[in-house]
Amino acid sequence: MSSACFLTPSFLGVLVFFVIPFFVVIYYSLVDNPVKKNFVGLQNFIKLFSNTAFLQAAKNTLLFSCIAVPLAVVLSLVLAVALEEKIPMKSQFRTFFLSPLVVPVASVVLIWQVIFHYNGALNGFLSLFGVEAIDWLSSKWSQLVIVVLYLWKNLGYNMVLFMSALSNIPKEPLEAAAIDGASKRTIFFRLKLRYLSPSIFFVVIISLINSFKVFREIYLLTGDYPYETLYMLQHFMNNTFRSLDYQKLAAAAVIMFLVMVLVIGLLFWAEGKLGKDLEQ
Amino acid sequence: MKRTKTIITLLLTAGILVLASACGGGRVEAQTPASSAPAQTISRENAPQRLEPDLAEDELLVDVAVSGTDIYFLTRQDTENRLYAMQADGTDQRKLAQETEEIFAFCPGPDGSVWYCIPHETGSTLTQTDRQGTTLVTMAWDGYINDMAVDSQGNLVILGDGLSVLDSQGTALGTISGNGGYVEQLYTAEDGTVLAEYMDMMANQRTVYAVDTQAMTLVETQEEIPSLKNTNWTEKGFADSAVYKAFTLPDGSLLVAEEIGSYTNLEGLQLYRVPQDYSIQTEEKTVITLAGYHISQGSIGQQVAAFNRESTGYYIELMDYDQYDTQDNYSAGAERLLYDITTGDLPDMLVVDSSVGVSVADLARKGYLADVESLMESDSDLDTSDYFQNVLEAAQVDGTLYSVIPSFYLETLAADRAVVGDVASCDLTDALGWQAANPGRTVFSSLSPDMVLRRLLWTYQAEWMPADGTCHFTEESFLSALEFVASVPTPTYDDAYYAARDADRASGNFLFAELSVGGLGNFFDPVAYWGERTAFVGYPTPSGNGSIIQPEQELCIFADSADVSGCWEFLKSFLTLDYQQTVEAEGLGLPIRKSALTRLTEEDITLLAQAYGVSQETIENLETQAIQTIESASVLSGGASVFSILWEEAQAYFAGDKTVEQAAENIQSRVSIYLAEQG
Repeated sequence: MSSACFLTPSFLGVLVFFVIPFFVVIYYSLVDNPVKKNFVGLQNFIKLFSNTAFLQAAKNTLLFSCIAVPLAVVLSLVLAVALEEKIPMKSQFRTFFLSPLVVPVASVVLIWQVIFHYNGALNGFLSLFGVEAIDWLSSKWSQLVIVVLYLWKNLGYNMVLFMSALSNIPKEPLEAAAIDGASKRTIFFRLKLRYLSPSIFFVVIISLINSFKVFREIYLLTGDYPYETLYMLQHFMNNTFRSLDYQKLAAAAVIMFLVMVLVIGLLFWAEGKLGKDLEQ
Repeated sequence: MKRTKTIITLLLTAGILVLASACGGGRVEAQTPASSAPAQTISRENAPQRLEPDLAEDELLVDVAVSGTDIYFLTRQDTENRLYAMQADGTDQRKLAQETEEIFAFCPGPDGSVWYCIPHETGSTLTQTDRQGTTLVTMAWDGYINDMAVDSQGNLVILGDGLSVLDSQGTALGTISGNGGYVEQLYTAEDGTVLAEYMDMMANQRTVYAVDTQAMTLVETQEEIPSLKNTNWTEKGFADSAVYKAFTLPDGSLLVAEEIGSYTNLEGLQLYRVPQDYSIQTEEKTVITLAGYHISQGSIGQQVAAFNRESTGYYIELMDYDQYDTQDNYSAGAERLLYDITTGDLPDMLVVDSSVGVSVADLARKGYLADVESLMESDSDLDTSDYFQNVLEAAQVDGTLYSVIPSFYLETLAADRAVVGDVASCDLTDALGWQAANPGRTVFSSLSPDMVLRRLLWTYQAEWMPADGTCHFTEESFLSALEFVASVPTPTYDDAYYAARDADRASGNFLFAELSVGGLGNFFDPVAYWGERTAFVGYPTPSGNGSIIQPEQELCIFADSADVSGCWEFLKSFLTLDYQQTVEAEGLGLPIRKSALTRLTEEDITLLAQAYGVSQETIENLETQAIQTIESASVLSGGASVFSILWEEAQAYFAGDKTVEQAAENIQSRVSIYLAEQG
């Protein structure tokens, strides 16, 4: 009974601010408009899938997440492993990779605008080698810029998580493997990686969430309607909200929810499999 | 454990109930405040009565005063100034004075006599008449008179350089000196004391003093100035800004003088007698809400007040969202309006203008608005053939009209026929050709590049963004437009800019003269440059006439309104001939009704012909062309989101960072996303 009392405030908070609004979103995705509120079944979803802006946004978001999330996980793991070794200036490197976390987004965007503007520092530098100016933020290169920005912003945090996980791996199995003549590579892939699987799972989830949050930086860099390769699902939702198109917005939110449930479900399944394997 | 489950079940049930109440229903309660409080019924006989003095058709009532049960009022007709009196119930009207010179101030005394003054270059003439209009005193006054008031003894207090006091026969009793400040106005309190509103410049404070005409001093008083400034005029059925003066009559009722017309175009006063304790909300009426930005004042506020007084069935409640703006956030009201729409807290009607942050098309396409076209067509009081059909058609959203446009401005271009030939419209190829053939001429007299691009976006919208949801910004016409806009110099607004502009204007040395037309007279400005060679060509457009219709305001009804017919009753008041005939003079643009458009009189034609040194026939021909231009305009302004994309990308081209093709390609990419989103 006492545990229920302690849970109630949080439960009510989640209910009021997440669960109920989510059901309201589902309701809006099934009616024709907020005034008449006629039930239209799946019509909003069918319309959504024929909307080229939504498809473009979904494609870009998927592409970005597929590129950026694995890169963020792999590179941060590599960095964490590298910083575990006895290398000079270890502490300085750690600070260097963590510093983007404490820089405000607006400042980050300002710096990146200076670098990637058509008349910016990068094009100025490239022109020294005779390379023609590239419109980094309004061309096919734009997703690359955002991937780099995302990695720069997130690698440090992921790295710290991996470093913490690496330091928690029990020493006995590693020493036993070393005595048995296992190479460093074998120890890493056969043992360390297995022990790291819960952290990898966590970092993937966090990176996936952060990949959706990159909209903030893109929005500050390019506004409501960026070049087509930078147009993300959050742009679509933000713009449809401002133009009072709640049916499209609600349907897109429901679709996004379903996709996220599927992805996270798959990750849970994979993590369960790996963890079970490790226990055996 | 079982109890815990029970609690969780209860909470979930509560949650579902909250959810059901949040999602269900459909009717919004915002428009039913009348039903939430039991309405008190009063008969129409107890509602405000308009007093209609017997005046000539063009005789304007310009000032009013009260003494006892008599109402005194001043009128003006051409050069004639007349002073009248009548009983508070509107009977026994009598003329007290008639002057060909301006009567500047007047004030009645307790015995029914009235003083009035006529200013001259060197002083003033003071005259007193009795209550039947017989002149009692006429005297010269050395100096200018700002205001006058008579106390209960019949002594006249004059506000000139200082305060002077005369007795009822006009004999000077003395003067009263100030206290380091100055008196702004004089009032006569209900007990007959003359009050002076005193401005203390040192303390920057207003104080009320009683004028003691016996001791010749000012005495501090707690008396309230009887201007009834604190009255809730909305509750009495008047717009705050329209109440010119108000007086309490002996029976406790109010005499209200309401201003008709705007500050710049005062069309006189209307008098109303409002019963004591009357509140418009005590009448049993259906409440209809009207939301908008800055609507309490100006023509909307006045129309609402007039409608509220006259309608027997409906009461319009204003929801002015500018009240939510703050020093830090000037668009807080617009954000609040969007929030209210989002949460379903909808008004019955909305006034859409550039401040609101949402367009009629946006609202209509999302199903928020009621079809106004069918209401117009089914209303037997309206003759739709009298409207500028082209404006109604341009305002349609996907073939249906969702808004009432009482008035509009026309943005158009005039040109020199010697340059453009005998044409009534042009496209970008023509404009670029004329520009190439006349390199010495400035393109526009004062339009900046962004203004030109915005207008071209409107006139070329059908070609660049056709209704099928595609866009064509990489095609030749858009590239030509960007090149054309690039050739327009950016105004620097410094001395050199103004000097060059004045020189161009003096010689007519520019290609196009931009016109913002709020009356036929605006069409004739370019005649000063090009005389009879003036041609109205409109902005470049691929077809038709490139003149742009800019609605002053659009009034819409929300589809969810509980009383669409009540809303329509109000909205159609903007389409009556009486209202339409006022819009030009009010500075609200051109009327939507053709018959309300002010045509040039013979005198106007003669004056214009003389002023510009052209024949009267030329002026008549140009007037005909001007009307044809209004009737052929087919483009409505709008599309801010797309313009911001165009302008942002175009600047890189203007700065020389990108080629016109690169800029166009980026625009194509970004606008196609915008359009796809809307689809």
